[in-house]
Amino acid sequence: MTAVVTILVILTILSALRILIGPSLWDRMLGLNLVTSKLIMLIIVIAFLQNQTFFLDLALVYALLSFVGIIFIALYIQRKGRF
Amino acid sequence: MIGTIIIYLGLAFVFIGVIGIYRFKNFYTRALVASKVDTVGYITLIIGIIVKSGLNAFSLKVLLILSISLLINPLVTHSVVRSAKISGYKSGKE
Repeated sequence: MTAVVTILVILTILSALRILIGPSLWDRMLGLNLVTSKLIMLIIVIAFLQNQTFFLDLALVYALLSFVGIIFIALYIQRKGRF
Repeated sequence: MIGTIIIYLGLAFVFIGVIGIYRFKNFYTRALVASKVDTVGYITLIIGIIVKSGLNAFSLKVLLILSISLLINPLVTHSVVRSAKISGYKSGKE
C-alpha cells in the first residue's frame, strides 16, 4: 500500500506542472481542480493506512473549500472583474 | 486481495487522465479528458478502499465524501468551461 502513496504523489506533481505551463488562465484553474481531487484521494489513503477517522473530516472540509474557491474565481473572471 | 486490485485499477485510470492532459493541444478537449477520466479514477479508488475496509463507520464516512465529491467535480469543470466560453476564449484549430 506504500506504493499507492508514492504513485499518487508523483501524479500530483505531474498535475501541478500543468498550473505552471498552462497557456491560458482556465488551464491553470483546471490544473488546480486536478491537484485538489488527487490530494483528497491521498488524504483518504493515508487515513486508511493509519486507521484514524478524523483525517476524513479534513478531506471533507478541503473538498468543500476548494469547491467554493474555484467557483468564485471562475465567476470573477467571467464577469471581467465587475461584481 | 480484490480491494488491492480495484485500487490499482483506479490508479491506472488516473494515470491515463494525466497523460491526456499533456497529449491534447486544445483547451476544451483537455477539459473533457481531465474531468471524465479523473472522476472515474476517483470512484474506482474509493470503492476499492471501501471493499478493503469492510462495513463500519470508516467506510460510511468515506461513502459520504464520495457522494459529495461526485456532486462537486462536474460542477467545477462546467463552471470553468462556461467561464472560458463566455469570456470569448478562442482555442486553436483541430
